[in-house]
Amino acid sequence: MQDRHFTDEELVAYLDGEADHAPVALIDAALERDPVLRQRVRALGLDTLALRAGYETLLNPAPASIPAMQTTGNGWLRSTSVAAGIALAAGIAIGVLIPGGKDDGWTEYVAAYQALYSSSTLSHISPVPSDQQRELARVGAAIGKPIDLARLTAFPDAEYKRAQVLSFDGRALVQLAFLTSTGEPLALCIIRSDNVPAGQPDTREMEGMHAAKWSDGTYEYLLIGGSDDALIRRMSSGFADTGV
Amino acid sequence: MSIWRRKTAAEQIGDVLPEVFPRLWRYSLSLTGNRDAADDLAQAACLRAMENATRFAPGSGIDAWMFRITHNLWISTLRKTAVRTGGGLVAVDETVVEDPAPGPERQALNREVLRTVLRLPEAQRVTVILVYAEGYSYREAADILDVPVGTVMSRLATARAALGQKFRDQETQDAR
Repeated sequence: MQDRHFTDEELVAYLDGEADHAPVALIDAALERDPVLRQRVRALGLDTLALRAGYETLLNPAPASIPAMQTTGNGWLRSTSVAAGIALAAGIAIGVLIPGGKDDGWTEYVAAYQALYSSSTLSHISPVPSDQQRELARVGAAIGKPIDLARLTAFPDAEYKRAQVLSFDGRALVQLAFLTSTGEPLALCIIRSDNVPAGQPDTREMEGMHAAKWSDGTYEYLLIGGSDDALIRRMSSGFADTGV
Repeated sequence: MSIWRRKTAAEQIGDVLPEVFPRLWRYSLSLTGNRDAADDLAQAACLRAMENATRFAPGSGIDAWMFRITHNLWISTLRKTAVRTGGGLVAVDETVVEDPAPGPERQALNREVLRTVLRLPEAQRVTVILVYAEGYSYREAADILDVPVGTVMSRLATARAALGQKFRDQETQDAR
């Protein structure tokens, strides 16, 4: 009996054990007697174990943004519990956000997000001023606000690293990332909020990090991160006094 | 009736984040081709997942849902920027696959297979990674990529034929 022709798709599904998508019994039988088919199946072979093992190595070095797995350096158990703690903190913050829909929900958000940062998220970035200028022009455009690089680099205790645009509830949110001289990540986040009255920095603790929030009447600002309350006060009043 | 309330979708996301984030990051790396862009994409995807937590239907795989968000985010926004700034199609950075200290032959093979996969055209590359490296079924990969199962099958068949050809050519070369 002449076997019917099997497509490459069917043969691959057969190799992948996707029985819903391959006539397994027919292919089994045909393989018994058809050397050409055996040749075709061999030609479609892929060393998936090698691929999986190679893919594993992409995490080595681990991504900068898994704080708990890189920074504690104290063994796996500790890492896992810290990771779980961070996830829990993020989960709690989110849990608060969803039902509430408070006006300043974005700050809670940023806090949960910032909790995912570690020193190694930013330490590999070696800032080049011309690139930073370009990046600031791009992210500034997203919220309709020019951002002055000189203002961001005015603090000896915190090196300005990079800018990115995030979004909260469909609104653009600019995140400017700093790394302190003690290796703690900070973020200055700016969002357009026309209906919030101007106000001086108000410090608070969020997600176990120090933070300060203020507004200039057009934009709201949140500076958050690390454990140095004095630095947060100094930087936030500097930004509030002279603008960003 | 249980006195325990059911976990909210947001809490479920929080629970799986330590396990899923590295996988999303690695997938992001295979999409973007460089580590900084992978940081941005994976973080943005987590943020998006948190924002949309209420839309997650409990019962379905939360990790697959987050992969889907990552992929959509890549297609809808970040890829455009990457293509604009990169002046063309995004090629996976050769330096992504680190050359570790000389090791056993097996490691060299693993790296070579991965490199070859990372050089595949994007549609084939992501499908191969979701099915063979992440272990998703055809159905799950189709859902993540928002394509029919038939498309997943044809991408895999094309990719495997190309990869098989490449390794056969190499064996012939090595034998010379």
